[in-house]
Amino acid sequence: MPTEGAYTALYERNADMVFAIALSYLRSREDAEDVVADVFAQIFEERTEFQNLQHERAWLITAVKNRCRNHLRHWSRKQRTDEEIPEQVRSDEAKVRLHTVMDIIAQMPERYRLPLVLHTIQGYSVSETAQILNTKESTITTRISRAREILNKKMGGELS
Amino acid sequence: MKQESNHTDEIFSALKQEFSMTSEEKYRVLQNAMQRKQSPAPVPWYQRALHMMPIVASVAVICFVIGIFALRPPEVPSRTTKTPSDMDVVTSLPVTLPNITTVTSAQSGMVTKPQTIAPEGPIPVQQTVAITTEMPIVTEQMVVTAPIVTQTLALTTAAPVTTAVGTTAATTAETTEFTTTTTENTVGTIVLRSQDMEVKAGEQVTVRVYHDTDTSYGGCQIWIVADNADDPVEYLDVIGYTLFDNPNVHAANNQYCLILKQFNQNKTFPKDSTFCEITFQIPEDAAVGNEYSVELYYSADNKVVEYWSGDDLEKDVKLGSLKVVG
Repeated sequence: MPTEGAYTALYERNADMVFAIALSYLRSREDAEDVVADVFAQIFEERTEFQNLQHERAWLITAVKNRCRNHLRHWSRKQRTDEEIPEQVRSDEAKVRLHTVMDIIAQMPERYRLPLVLHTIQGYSVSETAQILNTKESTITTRISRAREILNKKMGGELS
Repeated sequence: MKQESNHTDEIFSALKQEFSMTSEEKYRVLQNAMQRKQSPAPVPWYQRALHMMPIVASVAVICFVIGIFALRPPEVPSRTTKTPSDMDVVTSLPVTLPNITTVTSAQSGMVTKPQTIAPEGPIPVQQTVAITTEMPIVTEQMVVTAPIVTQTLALTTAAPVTTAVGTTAATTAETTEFTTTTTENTVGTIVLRSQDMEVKAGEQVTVRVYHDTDTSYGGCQIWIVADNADDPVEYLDVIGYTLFDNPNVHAANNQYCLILKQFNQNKTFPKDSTFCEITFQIPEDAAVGNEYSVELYYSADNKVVEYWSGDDLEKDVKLGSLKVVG
């Protein structure tokens, strides 16, 4: 039976990844935090044991995806509009651009979004991303290229 | 170019920051998770069941009384009257199957309840199908006692959040073959036997290209090109590929290329050797009428290492096409 310390280490190891995935779905830090807490609470509560790191990550990704989907299904969410962006944020061009990029990522099909988040944003290698998503490396490479292309296209060619 | 690159780096660096938790957030979420863990547990099912006992008992008594007065016990047929055709009837009764979800291994198997996926092909009789769910961990096995072609099967597992991976021996993968006939180092005399093929959206297709003469060349690529898809950059999900005798594989993309393999080896390939084999999935949302060309990009000069120079030595050749039908 894993110790309390082992669970804290598990949390430290994966919190950023789980949060990034949740944020890519929900676009709200508060909602993402809520989902992350929920996912880890389940592990702590059920004292879930994992066979290895790959199993642990796959479990977490599935858990966070499912919770995000449920969250989106059950809660009517307000679409973020330009009017909702605070004045000081709107004045900061870089932040507006960042929000635009995040919106584009959130609207991407899952098969492109997750490789982009894990590889390009979270820094996992193609091989690790392929392992986590249980997909071939060549597919991951194609999907990352495709995701970047979608991003670039929607940003009007701003990204090289 | 450098400016663009810096700009991209800037955006991705900001994204990395945005997608990370601050240490305060991390601590808060951890505390939150711990608190949720310690929240009072829900009333166990057996306690809830105890409260329901009087109602359940009343319903059971009523059903029992109705059963006794309204239903006649069925006659038991004697052994001597049972015929082979009766046996057939017995075996062809609708089989109550444990619900399953069929997923190919290539699909990564992450399916959320209550999704229902029809099997991808006939499951042979007596085929054992293993179902593994990862969350919570549940493993079931079923033996199919009748051919299943049309039934829609659904997985019922423990709620609330369950994923499942099912595997069967069935597959819908189709293989089509394209043949290139080349005369050594002479682009002008490439002769092709091509084959067109009809595919369906979502279908898994394997394309195999092989030589039918002894062939030597400096470089070749196989492209799968979306000819008239709505989005010209319509990437296919590449499930796998094999490029024979080629230690120098790499993939790249441009605005038309879906799969690009090339090699720089100046080697001779014997007749009937396979040039390459690529398995991919036609997009689920591919529109009827869309066409994917299978093209060979051929460089005649076997000394050429830089593929993008010497345009007059390079040639795109269409080997065949995959047309999406309804």
